[in-house]
Parts: sequence; C-alpha cells; structure tokens
Amino acid sequence: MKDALNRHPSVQFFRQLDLIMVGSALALLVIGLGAIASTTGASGGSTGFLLRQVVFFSVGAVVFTIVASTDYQRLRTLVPVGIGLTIVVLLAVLGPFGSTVNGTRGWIRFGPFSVQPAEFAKLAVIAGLAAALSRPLGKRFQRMGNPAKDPRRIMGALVLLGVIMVLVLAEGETGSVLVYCMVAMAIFFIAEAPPRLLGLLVVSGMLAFALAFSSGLLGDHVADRFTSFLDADADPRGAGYNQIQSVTAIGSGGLLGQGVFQGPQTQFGFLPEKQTDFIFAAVGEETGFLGVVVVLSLYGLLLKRTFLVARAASDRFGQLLVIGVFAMILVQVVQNVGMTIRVLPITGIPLPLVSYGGSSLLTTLIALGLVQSVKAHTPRSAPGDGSLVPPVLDLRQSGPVPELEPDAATIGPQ
Amino acid sequence: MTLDRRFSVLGWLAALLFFVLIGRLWFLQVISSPELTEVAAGNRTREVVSESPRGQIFDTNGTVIAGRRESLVVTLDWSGLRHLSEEDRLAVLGEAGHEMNLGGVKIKVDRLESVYERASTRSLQPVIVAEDVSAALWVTLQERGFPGIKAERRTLRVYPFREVASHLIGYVGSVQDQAEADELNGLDDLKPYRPGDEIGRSGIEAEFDRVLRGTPERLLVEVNASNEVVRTIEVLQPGEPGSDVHLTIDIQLQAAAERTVQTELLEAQRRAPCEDCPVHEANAGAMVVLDATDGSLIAAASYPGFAPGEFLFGMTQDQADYLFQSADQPFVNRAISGLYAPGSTFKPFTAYAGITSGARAVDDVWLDEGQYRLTSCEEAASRCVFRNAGSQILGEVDLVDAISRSSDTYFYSLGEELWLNVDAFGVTPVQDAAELFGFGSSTGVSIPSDRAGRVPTPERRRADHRDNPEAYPNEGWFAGDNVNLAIGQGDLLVTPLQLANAYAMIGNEGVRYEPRVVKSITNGVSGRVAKSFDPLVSVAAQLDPVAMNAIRVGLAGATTEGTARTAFVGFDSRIGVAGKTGTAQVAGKADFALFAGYAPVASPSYAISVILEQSGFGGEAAAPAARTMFDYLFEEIDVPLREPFTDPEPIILEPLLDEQGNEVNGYGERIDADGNIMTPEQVAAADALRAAEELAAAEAATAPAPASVSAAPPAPPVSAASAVTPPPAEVTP
Repeated sequence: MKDALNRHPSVQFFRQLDLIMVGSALALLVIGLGAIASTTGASGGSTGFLLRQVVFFSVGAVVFTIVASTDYQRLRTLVPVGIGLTIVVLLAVLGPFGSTVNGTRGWIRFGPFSVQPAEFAKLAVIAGLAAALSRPLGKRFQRMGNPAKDPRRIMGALVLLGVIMVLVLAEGETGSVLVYCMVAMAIFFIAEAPPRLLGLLVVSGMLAFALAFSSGLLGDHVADRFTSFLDADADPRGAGYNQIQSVTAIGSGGLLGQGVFQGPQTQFGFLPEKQTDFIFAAVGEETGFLGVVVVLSLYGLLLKRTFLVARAASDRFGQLLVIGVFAMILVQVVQNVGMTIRVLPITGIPLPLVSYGGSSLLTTLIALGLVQSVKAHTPRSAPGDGSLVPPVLDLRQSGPVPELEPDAATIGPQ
Repeated sequence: MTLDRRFSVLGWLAALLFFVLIGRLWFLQVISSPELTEVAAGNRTREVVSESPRGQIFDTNGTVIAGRRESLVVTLDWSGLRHLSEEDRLAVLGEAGHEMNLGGVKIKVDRLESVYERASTRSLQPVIVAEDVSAALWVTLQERGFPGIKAERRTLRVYPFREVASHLIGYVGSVQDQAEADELNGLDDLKPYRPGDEIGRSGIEAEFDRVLRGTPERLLVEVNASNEVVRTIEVLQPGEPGSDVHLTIDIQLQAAAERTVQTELLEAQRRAPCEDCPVHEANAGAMVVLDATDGSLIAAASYPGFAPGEFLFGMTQDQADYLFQSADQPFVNRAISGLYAPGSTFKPFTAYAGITSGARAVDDVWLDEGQYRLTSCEEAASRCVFRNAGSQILGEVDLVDAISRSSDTYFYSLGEELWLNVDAFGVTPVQDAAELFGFGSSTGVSIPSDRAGRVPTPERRRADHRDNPEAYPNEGWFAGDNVNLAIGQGDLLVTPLQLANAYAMIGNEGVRYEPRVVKSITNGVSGRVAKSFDPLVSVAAQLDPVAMNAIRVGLAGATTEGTARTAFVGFDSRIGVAGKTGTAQVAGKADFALFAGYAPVASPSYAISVILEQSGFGGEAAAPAARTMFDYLFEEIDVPLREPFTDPEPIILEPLLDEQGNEVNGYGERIDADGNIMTPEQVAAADALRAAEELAAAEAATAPAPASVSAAPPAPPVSAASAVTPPPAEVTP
C-alpha cells in the first residue's frame, strides 16, 4: 500500500522536488506580491495589479508543474518548434500585432493582458543554444565529439542567437538582448567552446553595442539612460530622475526600513516604475537593508541550487539548459538591482519572481521547471535520500569517448 | 580549463557580483542613510506661500469701494503649455474651450491662444480667462486636468462702483517677475512679494499697497510626486488679511461730480465756439471738492476714466488701444496731477500781491477800455497790446469789480506796474503770493501722482535756460511775462487740487490744510483703528485783512453779478458762493474753462475747482458744473444715488461666428443662445426660420418705404458727443 503510494506519479514528483529551490522561489514570489501590494496601493483598495499577479502566479505554478514533471529530454524534441514559434511571434510583434510601451514595441495585447515575447525568447535562446552545443539524442551521435567545438554547430548557435537578438533589438528591448548575450556566454563557457571563440564573442558583442549606440540605432532613451547613469545630476529632473529617486528611496530605507506601506518615496509616487523595474527600490525603502539582504539571500539560495543541479546533470543538454537558466536569473537580478542602486545603467529588465508582470513570471517559472526537470531526471548517487550529490564529472578527456552516457531509462519515448 | 574549473569560475563570479551588490547596499542603507533620508524628506516637503485677502477700501460713510469676492475661475498657465507643440497646444486649448462652451462660458479658442501668446511675453503667472464659472464646469475642468488650464478658487478684487473714483482708488496688477519682486522686497521682509502676487498699480491701491496687502501664509507641507499637498507639517507664518483703508471720499458725491463733469463736457461740445475759434473738443476735465474745514478730499473727478476691473479680467483690443494709446490719457488723474494754466482764477492772488506790495490800494479805480497797451513798449506792434477776453469794455473798476467782472486790463496794468517798479515791490511779488497760497509745491496729499506745478520766476527761467537751452529758448524776463502771469497765463501751471485748496485758504482767513484722502487705517480682522490721519494745517498765514476782505467780496460778487452770475442764478443767497471763473488760452486749442470757489461765503464748508478742457468760457462751461456740485453739497438737489454693482463685471467676449453669421463653438459646431450644441434638426429648424425671416425682410424692403427710412438720417449732435465717450465708461442714466 505504502509502496503503491510511493510509486504514484504525484508522490514521485514531490519527492524529487528541490524543496530549497522551490521554497526560495516561493518566498521571493510572496515578497513580490507584498511589494506589489505596497507599490500599487492595494491597502487603499486598488487590488488590480495584485490580483493579476496572483493569476499569473497560478498559471505559472501549473506550467511549472507540467514542465518539471516532463522529462527534459522529451522537451528537447520540441526545441526546433519552439524556436520557430518564437521567431514568428517576434516578427508578428514588429508587424501589425505589436503595441508600444515605454518606447519599446515589444508587446502583444490579449484583452486585458499583454504578452512580451522577448521574455519567452529567453527560453528559446537557452534551449536552442543548449541543444546546438550538446550531442543530439540517438545512438548514432554517441561517438560524436564536443559539438561546442564543431564550427558548423557553433555557426548554427550564433545564427540563432543573432536572429533573435536582431528581432528583439528592433523592438527596442535592449535589456533583453543584454540578457541573451550573457546567457549565451555562460552556455558557451560551460559547453567548453574554444577560448578564442569566447574572446571573439565578447569583442564583437562590445563592438556591436558601441556601433549600435553611436549610430543611434538603439533609440534616444537608451543613450539618455546611459549618459544619465554616468552623470545623473546633469539632468536630475529628466533622464537621471529615476535613478536619483531610486537611490534616495533605498538609502532612506536605512537598516530596518520605513515599514511596509510606509515608504514616502514609494507611496507618494516619487519612485518611478515602482511595481515593475524599480520594485527592488520599494523593497529597499520599506524593509531596509535587512529586507534586501533577505531578498538577495533568497536569490543566492535559488541560484546555488540551480548551480548544483547544473553541475550534477548527467548529460550536456541538461547541464547547459540549467546553466542557461542560472545565468538568466543571475544577470537579471544583478542588472535590475544594480540599476536601482546606480552601479549599472537603466535597462528595462524586471526583477525575476518579484516584479509585477506575467511574461517575466511565466518565463522564470518555466525556466525553473526545466531546472527541476533536469534535477528529477538526473540519476542519484544515493537513490532515495533526496539529497543532491554532485557527481564528479571528468570531462578532461576530449575526443570521441563519451564522457556522459545519457541515462538509458530517459532516452527515447517510454 | 576543466569543466570543474569552469563551474567554479562561474560560481565565484556570481558570488562576487552578489558581494558587490550587498556592499553597495550597505553603503547606501547604512552609511549614507541619514543623508539620503534628508534628500527624501526634501523631496516631499515644500514651502507653500499663499496670499492672504487684500484689505478693503471704504469711503467716508463706510461704503465698500474696493472689496473682495471669492470666485471659481479658470486660468491659463503659460508654463503648463509651453512644452507642447503648437499642434498639441491648440488641441488642448480646443478641448478646454469646448468644455468651457459646454459649461456656459462663451470663449473661443482664438482668445485662449492669444492669452497664451501674450502671457508668454508678459508674465509667468496664470492668467484668468473666465471667472465665476459654474461649479459643474469647475469640477469638470479639474477632472479633465488639461495641461496649463486650471480650475482655481481665487479671491478677486472687486470695485462695486466700477469706474467711479477709479483714478483715486487705482487698480491692482500682479508682480511681473522675480526681478520686480526682488526690487520690492528690499523694503519689507514680512510680506515679501513673489511674481504673480497682487500689487496696487496706481492710486490708493499703490500708495497704501503695504497696508492693504495681507500677510502671506507660509506653510511647510508634504507633497507627492505630482506636487499635490498630502499634509501640512508646520505653519511657518500664519496668514492675515490686509488692513482696511478708509477714505475721506464720499462715493455718492464722487459719482455725482464725475457725472457733472461729463454732463458739462457734453454741453460744451454742443455749444458753438466763438467766431474763428477752434471747436470745443471738450474731451477731458476734472473737478475737486474739498472739505474746507479740514482739507478732506470729498470728491476728485477726472474724465475720461477707466474701469479698474478690466485689468483683472482682460479687455477687448479696442478698449486696450483706447486706454493705453489715446491722446485723452484716461489713466491720468487730472484732478491731482493735471497741470493747467489757471487763467483768471489766479487773479485773486495777483490782487493780493498788488495790495500787499502797495502797488495798488483796494479802492483805486482803473478805467477798463477793453485793451491794455504796455507802457514800456516803444513800438506800435500788436504784441504790445493785450485785450480783455471777448474784448469787453468794463469801464471804471476797482479791485472788487476787477475780480467779480474779471477785468483783464486791471491785472495787465498791475502786472506791468509791479515789474516796472521792481525796486519798490520786489522781483517776484506775484510769485511769492502764489507760493503763499500753495502753488508751485506739492500739496502733500497721499496719492502718488500729486504734482507740484510750476510758478515761473526770472531766476527759474534763467536756470532752466542754462540747463536746457533748447527746451527753454527764453532767458530773460520781460514786462509781458509779468502781464501774462498776472492773469494766470504764461508758464504758470497749477493742479485742480492746488486751486481748490488755495481758494479754501482764501475762505479760511489764511489757514491752509494739507489735503487728506485717507481718514484711517483699520485692522482687517478686528476693525480696530491702527492709524488715523487727523487734519493737518500746513500753513496758518497772517494775511492782510484789507486785501483779503476785498478779494472775498469780489469773489462773492462774481457769482451774484459778475462772470459766474448766470450759473448761480437762484442759488440760496443765505449760503452764497465766492468764486472766480477762468478762461485759459492754450495755443491751437479751444479755451479751457475753469471755475474755483468756496461756499458758504461767510465761513466756507466746501471748496471746489473745475477745469473743462477745450470747453470755452469758464462762466459758461465750468461755473455750471460747480453750481450743480454746490447744489448737491448743500442738498438743494438730491444726489442721484449710484447703486453698487453686485453682479460680477462682465467679461467682454466676442461671440464666435461662422461664415453665415451663426454662433458656433470652438469646433465650429452650431450652438444656441445658452451655449449648447445644436442637433442637426435644431440647426435645420433655425436655418429655416432665418430663411423665412430674411424672405419677409426682403419683401418689406421692396415695398414702398416711409420717407424717414429711405432718407439718410441727419447726424444728431449726440453722435459727436458719443464719439468721445470712451467705451469703458458707462453713462449713468
């Protein structure tokens, strides 16, 4: 009876769940809901944003469960379809279906909700690169060398990255492009791409950015944000306003904060974009240094668990997938927090799990679902104990010898 | 690099990034926190300064003549619109104008646009474009939140008697910019001016601005990012209404004086001028009524005038052109600062000089032959001959007759005699007498435009010539100058106020008061007297009783059998008026008519001076005005009561018409008389009705018309009069 219960899929699912990762993600979500409640005046009865975020969260939880309980190797077969769909949607946004918000044309409206395809494209980039730089499924590829050293595969990966980046850049979503770049770098790095390629990527990326920046291709608001980051006081009412207000909010939070629903910078509207891009500043003002350390610790925990899953992954695809997710969350947290405390220029990157917004939340939850899927489908060194012991991966040998044998049980349709 | 190493590089990199974030947060939230908390506090605290109600101005009977009134107004704020493109701005003004039309305010977009354009060059302060709007419109505009168009609650200055006493009361404007405010604030730090604050620009409003101006309220408040006040933190300075000013003016008598001046000017316009004389333009005039017992100003009329409220609510272009550019100078308070040759009204002072210097005795008889030939003039040139006005021949006259019948030749001869015997009579006996009676120096009345006038002397003429030879080509003083001076001509210039005050001094046996217009200042809240201005004797001279007696008798005779006889027929002889007419010559213009006098003859209660520009003889034009005024003062006739206006001053707006002459709103939509947009059916109905009316009119026109209609009506004399009637001044029925 007990055995039968243990074998039940839902019990299996929960047993394999990385409770620390899921727990920290949930904690961040709850903090996010609190912050959205505070910044959107939920205490005053305006609960629209809060309710919508709860809806996004509920949808996200379902999607997370589906993704997490599906074998990531089966999802791999969907990667080409996903990429194709992403490119079509990105093209559609540029076409007649898009609408413009804050100077970027990256939204598709569905009634009361708007979808930001650039968010979901992050998943396409991660999955696409992971698939391109790892051996495909099937016995005939088992003797294949490291695809990350195969020029044709590298070219394929770069073309995919390039196409998505150009499309998203055309929508004006500079911040997302930044995330793609960083994610790609992390995946290339872990995929053991040749160091020269990495160097080339960094240099060409910087060149491209400099070129785009100087030619005005990125639009005025990007240039304004960058110059105002360098000298915010030059135009304190204009481009530098947001960061000045944000730093002021965080600083006036002090050690313990002004109290939830009590931060004047947040409550009296000085803080811009307070429920989305600058939500961290609201948290900083209302809960102080203590609060932001808790938030950053939760991210640290989440990232550490993701990192461990990546390291323990039993095959390259899974490993690259998870490290992509790791990089995605890391870059977004660092960039978002960095801009609110004025160590980085402003980009429209939300704080994962905390900022208001369905597209970002769903993307992050799907990504975490992938991580959970990889974790659940990684063979354990000590089955049943639930802890994740990283297997020692000896990848020193290169060449045709397969370093990682995909788990036979997980190959192919069952 | 092994994969393991790669992972640890990535892991450490992530840890490092987090470390940087935590470090920066520590710096901001722990080390810089006090400083940034202060920045945040500064972010949301503002000092809000708001003007307190301006004090009121009362007349001598306690009637409000400059008051205040709460009003819901719509303002246009230039600074709120300047960021917009012209297209966007016109769209905003169009929308706002449309809402205002719907709310019953007939304003067109063009006008809003012109207010915007004027404001951009003149002032940074919001300009009122509509006042006393309905509460519904007010709320709508607040909700719509048009940039630069605000619905506000303002305390407005209101002048219940409109143009009555406008020169005396003055008007208020607003401090134009920071530069002006800084200049003003050097004087007083308790009530500092800010750009846009109400400030008196003329008259009592200007002279007593510091008194009338309320102490502004200064609050430290908390605001949100939209600059809306969230709460008051501290009252830095409580506001206090300004003090009230009580005038000696009687607003009813003032209105009566203004009306009298206007009436007599209209009369003068109708009167035919003498042969070959310039026409009576009679376009301006002034009258001063003094309380002879204490120097209080009872009325000071100056025509033409203006309605002070126009400065608050804007005016049409025609009105502005008239006020600012007309040669009539409607802003000048002629009663106080108009400079005139006194003409024959000056003769009593020449007479006083003649008697007291010993040149003439009171009963010396002079044969008036209608003209006087200078004895010192050697050639037979015509410039040596001075004639009586109208070349009358008066026969034998003594001093009393010379005054009452206004013999010019008597005074011509006296003038020359004084000059020919400088050694015996001194260089400036006439000028000295003039200065004794207050001419040539400011009366001291507390109205900013009070002027000194000019009493010419040989010495001054030399000095003027030395300083500015082009403006003063004459250096020497000749007998002819003394002759002219003797009858109040030449370079002599006096103000109507000086003239009335000098006549009061004649009646008061040498006591001359400093004219006063303000009785007291009272606290705006408690009503307690903060300062009172008691009558002030400026000169109490021991005058020669013989000379003064003769002069007084002469003046009394002028109104009973002399030059002013006609005007004073039937006046109560128990009271009696002592006065003198004057007919001053001004080159190229019709004569200026003057009258100055006091009553009762025995012990004067009132002194009056009247000057009607380009109106002909003093006895014909000015004396009747004084007579009417004395009738009012001694209650021979009831003063026609002028009711204060309780309704707001109308804003004059041109209706917006389409090509067919139908009234439309800013969008070109047809509107009805109430400003509502008409439905297509209503438009069709209105058009049909009009077409029918036009048809009927056309039929009527083709039918044989009565002769009086077909013939061009002759221009009635009234039309000439109405031509000079300025648009702002209403003729009280």
